[in-house]
Amino acid sequence: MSAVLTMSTWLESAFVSGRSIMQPSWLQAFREQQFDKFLQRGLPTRKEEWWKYTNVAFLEKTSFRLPIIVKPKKIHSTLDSSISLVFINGQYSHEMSNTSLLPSDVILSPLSLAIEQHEDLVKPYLLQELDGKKHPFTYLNSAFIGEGVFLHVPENCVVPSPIHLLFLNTEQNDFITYPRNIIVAQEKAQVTIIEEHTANQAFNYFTNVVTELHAHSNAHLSYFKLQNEHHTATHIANVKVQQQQDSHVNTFFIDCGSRLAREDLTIHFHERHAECHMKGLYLLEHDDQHVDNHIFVDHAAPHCSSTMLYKGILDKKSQAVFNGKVYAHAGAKQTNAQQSNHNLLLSRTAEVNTKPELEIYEEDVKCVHGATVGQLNEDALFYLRARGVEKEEALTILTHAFIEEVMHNIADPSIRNYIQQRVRAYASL
Amino acid sequence: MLIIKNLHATIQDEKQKTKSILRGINLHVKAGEVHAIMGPNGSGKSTLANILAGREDYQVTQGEILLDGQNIMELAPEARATAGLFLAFQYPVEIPGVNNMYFLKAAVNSVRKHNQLPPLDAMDFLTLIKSKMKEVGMDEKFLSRAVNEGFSGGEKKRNEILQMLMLEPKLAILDETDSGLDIDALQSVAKGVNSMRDPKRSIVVVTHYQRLLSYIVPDVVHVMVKGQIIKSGGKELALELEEKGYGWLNENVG
Ligand SMILES: Nc1ncnc2c1ncn2[C@@H]1O[C@H](COP(=O)(O)OP(=O)(O)OP(=O)(O)O)[C@@H](O)[C@H]1O
Ligand SMILES: [Mg+2]
Repeated sequence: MSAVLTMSTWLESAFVSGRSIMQPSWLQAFREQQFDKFLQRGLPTRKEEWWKYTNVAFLEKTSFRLPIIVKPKKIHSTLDSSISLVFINGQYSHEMSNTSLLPSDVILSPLSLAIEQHEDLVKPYLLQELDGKKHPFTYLNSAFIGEGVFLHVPENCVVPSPIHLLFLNTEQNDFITYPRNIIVAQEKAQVTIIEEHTANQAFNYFTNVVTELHAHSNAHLSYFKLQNEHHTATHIANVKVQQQQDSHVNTFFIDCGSRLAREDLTIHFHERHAECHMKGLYLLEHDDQHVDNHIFVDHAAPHCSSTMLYKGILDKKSQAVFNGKVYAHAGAKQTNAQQSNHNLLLSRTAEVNTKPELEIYEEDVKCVHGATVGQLNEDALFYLRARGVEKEEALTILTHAFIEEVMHNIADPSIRNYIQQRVRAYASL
Repeated sequence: MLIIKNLHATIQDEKQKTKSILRGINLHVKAGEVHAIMGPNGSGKSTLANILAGREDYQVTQGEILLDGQNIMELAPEARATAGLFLAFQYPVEIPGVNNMYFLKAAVNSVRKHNQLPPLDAMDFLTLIKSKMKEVGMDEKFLSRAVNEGFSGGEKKRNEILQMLMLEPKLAILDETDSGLDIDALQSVAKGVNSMRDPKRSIVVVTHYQRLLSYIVPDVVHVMVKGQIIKSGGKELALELEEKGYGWLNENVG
């Protein structure tokens, strides 16, 4: 308990100093309530099944500051995107953002502004109770809600190019940010979002991000999450997806940064015939680097289908955790669920804990799952080299081959390109 | 072209016991010559071929290997390949996810780079590879498949020969490229190999069958038994082996 007290001390003072005079009273009240809930709940411990392999105890002893506002000299993103919102150390940067190509009836704005201008629209989404008990960092995020993105794509609207949300951490150390993103695709809307977290000269900081995605009926929503934080950073994320009838969601997580990264992804199928395809890729290259993907797919409605394909490559003494759980409620007839997780170990000291899980209360379901952990095929490496291909290039070719399956069907060339660059940078180490 | 002097090699088996495989190999292949190596299963033929190509699983405890006068023992496999050594594997490995054409192009261009040639552009490469595929009787659809993945035994062997034709090595070692081939395939493989014969190029074929040697006529035939070359002779030796087997040679083993 005393450890939690240490944490709450700096949190408390941060919380008080972070109180914004601008915020409406309902939001103030919500934040107070969420803060109390966090203090009661405390940090998760490894005794909890959902946090068994990821130790966050060190956070108790670390005091993070709220960041001060900085103006960066230039942006570090290899993605060229025509529509973007940029956040520097959690703070919205109007100058760096570009929304000129956005269809006029789409709302894309920093959360604080959306609360001012579209209070009635934002409020119900913001006040939704998330799973703080399981994921207490969400309480903390709500308590500190500072900035983030509010995106509202109206009925039938097709956003022509991906929307890039860039969270850049720079020129400061030991700070914490709490981005909160709310993304709503109304009926038959179509949109692609890229949420990127990256760093440039920032160390030991902590990103605690919550992103909520709402796909209304027949909406098509693609969500790419690129986590490329500095390798001393902590990144804890909670992504919640709410799907209505006939909605179609793709998610893709690529994790190559952070010392500790935890990605929670929850899919809720509320209505029938919804589909969600989840993909993930983690590329770990540092001793003590730890990436944990926890996925929960809640098949609460019949005729829904979900696929999950995660692949990881690990080097040095890095660790990966994969836990993918499919839960099929009684009555979720014709549920179709696939899960697979494959890992490639480049060193003897890397470690993977993988657990695809099924919990099924309905007979009429089709579920398959599988996981593998293996080494690089030495014969294949020799074969390539024996044909004159340099060892480095041969390794790159083989790592690309390993992840080829995940890269399939990524239509957007800039995203493909970005991911390939990350892989190339990784393989050439 | 290739000189092997008193080569000894061992391997650590699963129980970490050291097993000696090559026990003093001597071989001299001159430029323009074709040599055949025959010998019973497990005598060390593939081990020799793999050591030549730079496989690091074996420990070379004694001896040297000279390619064109250069000691290649310290060279990485890719450096040996770019220096002109080619091994057609007995068991070509399947590499899922790597496109066959992409692979061939990477191989050809790294050899070209070593020879200070610019990389082939896509069009030139395609024209070249299509003509070579015709030569070995391979359908163009194999270009879009993953390297050797799901290829039949014979298709894999043809793919090896295709690679050889594309890379134009100085020294080609063919490890049982004839095994598992039907008559037509055997003929097109032999045709491919014969088209490579050149006064500046040497070929070593490892085989169990005289049949291949009637298409690719060797200058010298060696018999390897238990890690040693116990007899060498002209092309008639292969016929004699076919007739009598290896038993009659055993008294010569030291
Ligand atoms: N990687 C290895 N691990 C353990 N033993 C090996 C290994 N490679 C070769 N050997 C052993 O060395 C011996 C020689 O094998 P090699 O494959 O060189 O024979 P070969 O003459 O090519 O036989 P074949 O005609 O059947 O192809 C065999 O006893 C084999 O089991
Ligand atoms: Mg052999």
